[in-house]
Amino acid sequence: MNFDTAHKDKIGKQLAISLAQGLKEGKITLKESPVISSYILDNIDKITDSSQLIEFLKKLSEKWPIFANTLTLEKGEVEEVEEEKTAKKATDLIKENKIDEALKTIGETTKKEEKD
Amino acid sequence: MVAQPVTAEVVVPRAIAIEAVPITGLTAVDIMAQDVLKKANEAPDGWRKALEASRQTPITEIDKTIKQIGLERNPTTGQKRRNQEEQKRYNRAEKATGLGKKFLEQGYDVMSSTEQKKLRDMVLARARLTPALAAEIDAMVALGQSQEVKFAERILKDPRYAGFAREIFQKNLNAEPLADAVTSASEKYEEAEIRKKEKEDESKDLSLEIAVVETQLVDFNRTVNLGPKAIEIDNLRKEVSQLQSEVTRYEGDLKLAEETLTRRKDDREYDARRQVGDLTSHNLAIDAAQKEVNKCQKELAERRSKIKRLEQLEKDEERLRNSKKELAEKRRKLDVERGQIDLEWQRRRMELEDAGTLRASQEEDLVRGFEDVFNNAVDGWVNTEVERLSTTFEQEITEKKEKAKDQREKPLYDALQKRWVKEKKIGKETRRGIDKRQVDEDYNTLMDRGPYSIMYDMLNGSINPETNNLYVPAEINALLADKEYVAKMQPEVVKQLLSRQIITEGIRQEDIFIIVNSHWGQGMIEQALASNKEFRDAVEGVFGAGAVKKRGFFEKFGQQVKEHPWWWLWLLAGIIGAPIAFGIAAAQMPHEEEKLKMF
Repeated sequence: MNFDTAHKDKIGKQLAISLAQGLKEGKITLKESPVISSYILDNIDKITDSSQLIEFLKKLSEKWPIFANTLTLEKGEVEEVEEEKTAKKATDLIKENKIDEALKTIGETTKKEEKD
Repeated sequence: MVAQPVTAEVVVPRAIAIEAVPITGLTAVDIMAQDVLKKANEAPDGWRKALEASRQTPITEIDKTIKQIGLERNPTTGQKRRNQEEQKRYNRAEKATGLGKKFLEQGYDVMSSTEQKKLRDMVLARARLTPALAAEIDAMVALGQSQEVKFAERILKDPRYAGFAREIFQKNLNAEPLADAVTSASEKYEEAEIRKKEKEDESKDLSLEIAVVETQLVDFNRTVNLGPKAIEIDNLRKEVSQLQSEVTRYEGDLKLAEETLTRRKDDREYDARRQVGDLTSHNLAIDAAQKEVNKCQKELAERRSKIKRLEQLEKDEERLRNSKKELAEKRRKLDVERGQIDLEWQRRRMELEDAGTLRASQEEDLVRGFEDVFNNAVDGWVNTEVERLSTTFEQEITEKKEKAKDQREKPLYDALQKRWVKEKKIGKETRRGIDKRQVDEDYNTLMDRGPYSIMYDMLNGSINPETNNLYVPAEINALLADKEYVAKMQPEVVKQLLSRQIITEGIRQEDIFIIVNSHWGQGMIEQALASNKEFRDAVEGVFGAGAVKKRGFFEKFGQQVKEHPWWWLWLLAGIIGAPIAFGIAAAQMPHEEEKLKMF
């Protein structure tokens, strides 16, 4: 899944809102805020696909847990897309009577999700 | 149509709305959170602006920035222990940042009258450095202080000005922390100082040692004044061989005397004497033998003592001279070491001084940066105004070129578009500015010889649309001899040049006479009057109806322009249909204020 401008704007907005909430709730200080903003602005434009995005959000959440929600949401969406893709692929394989291959595809996706 | 100026009344509330922090009771964190949230929701990519805003060091952190001033700390309290100079700098920084913070957070209107006056004075002082504004401000002085106040407040309440001030203030705030090269340089200097002191002490001890040896050696002096011990040695050396032979002789004598004494004391001799009853003689013989022994021993001891004395003196002399040599060598080595240590100490001292000077200049830069916020914001504001006017001038030429029916006009318009433009690279952006050198050169030519050579120069190198080849001199001369063409294009060239001159350098008082009395100057003024009804009405409002067609009008006009240099801007901005240049007209209107309000 490509990380296009619309997707970037969506994630950027979520992060900015989380930052504002973090400030409001006292989870982030005024001193931390420039560091966080710089980290996001310096890295977000380097992301080209969803795996890099997830990696970026993981690191961000490790440093500042206020962004954990964005990571969870994004991971969920990525999984959903993957599941849809797998389901479609499996359906196509079943239609072609390739039952073993269809089961293998579903199994691989499940393993990958469990690993994540 | 001349654009309506933005009046002070309009600007003031707008400036406050943008610049003030209206809600009290909110902390800096709340304000930042609100700002981030607002920006993030403003546009799809508003999150970038939101994050950029939160990337800035908040103004509330200003105290930390200026508290960097000074290096030493009280070891007990940890508080900064600033020296006199540092304290002065700190006080200045506190004052400057306090003023800036108040202006940026609360706006001009809530400041005290003293603070407002300070800001106005700063703005006016910096504005005076801009030629286009200097004449206007001078004219305002004649019109009374309220005009100056209005002018300065127009700038101070302009949101763009506050924007520049905020940008400059923030830039100072975001500056890298001051480097502390002084502490390590100071430690190194102190180490060098200790080493230097140690060597100095060592050197003093050595000097003392050398002095002791040299004092002792005075007794052994063998130069002009012979030392007593040197004399003694010499004398003993003269005697020594005789003494040695005497020692040998007395050793022999002593041996004999001792044998005699032993013999006298011998029991057999004693018995022999006792038997004859001659003990007295026996005792006398022993005494005599004993005396001889004693005498020999004494003589021997005297001579041995002298020989020993000589040996001792020679040893002492040798020891002292060796000692002197050793000490001299030690002194040489120590001097070399001291020289190196002194050099090191000097280097460390210079490094410390340099670090101190550097630190002081960095602190000074920090303070000046905050002190100059309001001055530098004027520059930013003026530059945008100049850029805006330049763009307006260029747009006007473009419009006229598009409307031109006579194809011969286009080459001159093309040349006008390029003649006084200078492109500047600012980062990745290319900005078009005014080529001051070319403007100055052409303005001087205009004053000395009129516009002919400038127009000639503009056409020279241009394509003649009638031949599609470059203009040749004969064609240029023929074109510039065409009265109709010149009547239309010459005022255009003159006003475009004067418009730029007034922005870059201003028009000299002595040149006003030339302009209003020259055919090209009058042509330009006439065109201004003909093309702008409002301007014409305003001028007639000052001189009376129909005055522009009466004799002596240009002299009167020249006089007005001399007294009120802002008329140039008014005139030129009016001609080209630009909004009032620098937004000052409304602030400087003299008694005819009401009549000029359309500008």
